[in-house]
Amino acid sequence: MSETILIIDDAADVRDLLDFSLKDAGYRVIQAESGPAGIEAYHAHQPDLILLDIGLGSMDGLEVCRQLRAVTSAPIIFLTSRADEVDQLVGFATGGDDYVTKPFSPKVVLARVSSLLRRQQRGDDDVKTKFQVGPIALDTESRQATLDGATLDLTRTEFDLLTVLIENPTRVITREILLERVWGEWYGDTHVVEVHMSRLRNKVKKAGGPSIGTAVRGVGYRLGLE
Amino acid sequence: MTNQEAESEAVLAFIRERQAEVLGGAISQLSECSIVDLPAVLHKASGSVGSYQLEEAHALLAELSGVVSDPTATQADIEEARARTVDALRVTGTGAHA
Repeated sequence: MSETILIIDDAADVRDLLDFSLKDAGYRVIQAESGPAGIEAYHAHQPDLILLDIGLGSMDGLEVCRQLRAVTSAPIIFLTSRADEVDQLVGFATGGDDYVTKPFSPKVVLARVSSLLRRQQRGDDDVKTKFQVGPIALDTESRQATLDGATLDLTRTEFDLLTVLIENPTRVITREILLERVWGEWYGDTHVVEVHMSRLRNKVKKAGGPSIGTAVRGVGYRLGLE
Repeated sequence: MTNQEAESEAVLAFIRERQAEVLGGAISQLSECSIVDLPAVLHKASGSVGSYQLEEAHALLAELSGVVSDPTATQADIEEARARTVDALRVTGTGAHA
């Protein structure tokens, strides 16, 4: 394992703990203490994954994410410590792939990092790569989703959620299956599925599409297309 | 699906080794910052001390955050709560040496 992880956080203690844990797990680690320094470090080292604090000083994490997303599709995990920051992540198309709340357990961060890197590397193993259900088309090879031919701007997680739903258009998919298929190994509650499903639903709807990802109480979700 | 597994021995050792320093840093920042900067300092310090498994200190900071975010709290209330929290932090576990 020799993937490079970039940590962008203005708290030195937090950076050091993440640095130690990631190196202990075999990753290479680059640290940056501000948004501009993080963007510079990205260009210098081209990391495989980025851990990004939202509450940075002059340039906040959301702006850093926006700038990074213009140049890379490397997974980005937000580090956040306030409920209102989580609300921000849910409410806006931030471009992040996941988030971890502070205080954090290094083991949980490692699990998320490993899971996202695995998903990124899984690549082209799918037998069937093109799907069309109603106005939504999906190409898992090029990782493109379209609505009536227009590109849907989805994050990695949203794309993977949509893939699971569209591969099984008539089935109800349990939260556990969604966690396993999209996140792989998971430590934490299943709330993360609702958060990302809500973002996916809003994006499709905002693009003029149908209501998808219908919740089936106590079970999970189905594609819907209502 | 909760995380029942412990951190690795190496990570735990690192955390233990750094706890006093992290708590000392939090106490310094908390003591020295202006009342305007207090919410941001608390925000950062809570993330650090909690991640370094300083549960008692984390709870004290959460309590102070409650006072700081209370719209009815006066500046004097906040200063008094800050002083009380700093004193309490100094006597918690590793903080006694900070």
